[in-house]
Amino acid sequence: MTAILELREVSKHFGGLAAVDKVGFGVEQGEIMGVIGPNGAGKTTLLSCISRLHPLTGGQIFFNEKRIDTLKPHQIAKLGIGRTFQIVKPFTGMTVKENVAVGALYGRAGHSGSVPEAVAQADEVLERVGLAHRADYPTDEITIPDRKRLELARALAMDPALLLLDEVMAGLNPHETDEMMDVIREINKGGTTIMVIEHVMRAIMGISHRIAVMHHGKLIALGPPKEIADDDRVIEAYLGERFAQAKRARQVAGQAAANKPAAE
Amino acid sequence: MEGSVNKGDPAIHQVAQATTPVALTRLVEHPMLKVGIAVILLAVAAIAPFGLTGYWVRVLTSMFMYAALASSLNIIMGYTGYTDFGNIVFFGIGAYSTGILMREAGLPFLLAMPVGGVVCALFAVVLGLPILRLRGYYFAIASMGLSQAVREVVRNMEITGGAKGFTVPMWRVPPRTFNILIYFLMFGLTLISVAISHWVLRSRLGYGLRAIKADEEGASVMGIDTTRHKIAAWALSAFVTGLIGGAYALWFVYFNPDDVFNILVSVKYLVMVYLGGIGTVAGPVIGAFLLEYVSDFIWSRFSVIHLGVLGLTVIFIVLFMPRGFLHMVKTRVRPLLARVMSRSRGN
Repeated sequence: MTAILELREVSKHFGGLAAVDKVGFGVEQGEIMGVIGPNGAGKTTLLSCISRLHPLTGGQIFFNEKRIDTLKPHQIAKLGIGRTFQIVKPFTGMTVKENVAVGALYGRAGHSGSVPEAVAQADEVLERVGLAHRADYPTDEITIPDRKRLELARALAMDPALLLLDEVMAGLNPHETDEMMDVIREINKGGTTIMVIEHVMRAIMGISHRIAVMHHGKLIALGPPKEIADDDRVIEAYLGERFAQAKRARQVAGQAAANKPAAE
Repeated sequence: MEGSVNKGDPAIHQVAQATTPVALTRLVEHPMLKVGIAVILLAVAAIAPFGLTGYWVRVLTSMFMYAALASSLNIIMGYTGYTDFGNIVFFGIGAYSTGILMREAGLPFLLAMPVGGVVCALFAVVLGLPILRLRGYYFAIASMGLSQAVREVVRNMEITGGAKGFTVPMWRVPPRTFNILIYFLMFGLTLISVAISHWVLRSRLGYGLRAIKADEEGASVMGIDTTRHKIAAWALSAFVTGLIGGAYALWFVYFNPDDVFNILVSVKYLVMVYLGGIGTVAGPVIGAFLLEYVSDFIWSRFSVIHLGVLGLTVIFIVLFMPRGFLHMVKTRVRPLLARVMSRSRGN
């Protein structure tokens, strides 16, 4: 397996704040990589560095061994990186289907150029994410969970090789979360590499092959979900040092680490 | 495609008609209805000048000119979301380019006008690079400043005749024939402007522009080259506006910088776009005819407060139909109509 995405010493500073501080890791072709960390850890900023909405302060990013941190957002999208936004950004004034058609019309290079073709593709994608019944609705008339699905559908219509998901499950109920997990697994089975930021622990532990943990802009742990759940540094980051000490003493805090963030 | 789908189901509508106003609304929305209305209007417009007095031919010509202007402005403003107060700059450049090409280079009008349009498009491409980086109010202000700066430049150039104004070689035809020809010229430009507007909305470009309007950042990560799209939209709008400016030059024969770079004219057709329905194909045309009619009516009776009408219209739109005339018809008048009709049928 080769790294489809490689981050080398990536840094992003906002004034004196190091939102992302020398983060380096690779995402393997075909895997689901989870990214977790407390609020303000720099997860979303890292995603925005990859899609080049933020210019880097330092470091380099490679996609399929091609350097991309010098490109523009639309060029990165053309190479095959799609993303969703935590704070959903539907194209208001367009229907759900039209929103998704934008993804099919632009998106990865060599993609469909004709509008009827793109609209047909949009229908297909809406079916996949369970949003077909809202296809002709204006985006401001659908629920928040549906807007999350729309975010995913739009990115999916771009036919990306790498999909960056920013909290697509936040605000979904447990049943909807399960559905979304299935959808993400299906997309991954289709050959799409996925990097996913999530606060819902049950979900991210369930779907990720590996998990990266960020805290104060730094990468503090990286490994399979099981290892991560037991990692002292991770527990400390989420729950504070006292819990980590207590865990060492009692070996029960692992459970708490999994439960506490899930309640957020 | 839409037509064939709908053709099959009037029967379904008829069954549901008596009970649900929704079904009737759908019948009112039948695509063939729109086409029918358009055909009738076109036919009326084609024979109208032959049965009207010179005064009304001129009023209608002016209405078509504004309809074409509003429609071309709608591409950058309605589709792309860039409020352009200074769109008049392309009108002025189009008028002067056409005039200069006719008088100095001896080009026939029908060649000079499109070249004038191309000059405007090029101007938009060159200036779009820096100016279209600005968003929201900043672009609106910059566009306004640009139009006034160009006016000053034109006022101080020799080839344009400076502040004294410019005279275009006159067409040697009887006044009545001249007026009717200009009428058809403006009518034709309206058709071109609306056709472009219609095509853009349904094309890939249109999807990209509407995405940019809603969220520029979101659009860029979807793979849309936002800079190129915005420039394309502005250049397209500039091209059509330039053509209309050229037609105006031929129509008025004499004009000066204050006439063709008049910011109030720019604001007037901007208001028309809002009045009819921003971002729609038919809206700007409807807005142009509505406002020009009202404005002509007021002007002929109380010429002093004529400009006040523009202000009052803006207030009226903002208060009662913030999304324009077309939207109001869709959301209020149509359901009302359907309800009334279904009630009378039910009894």
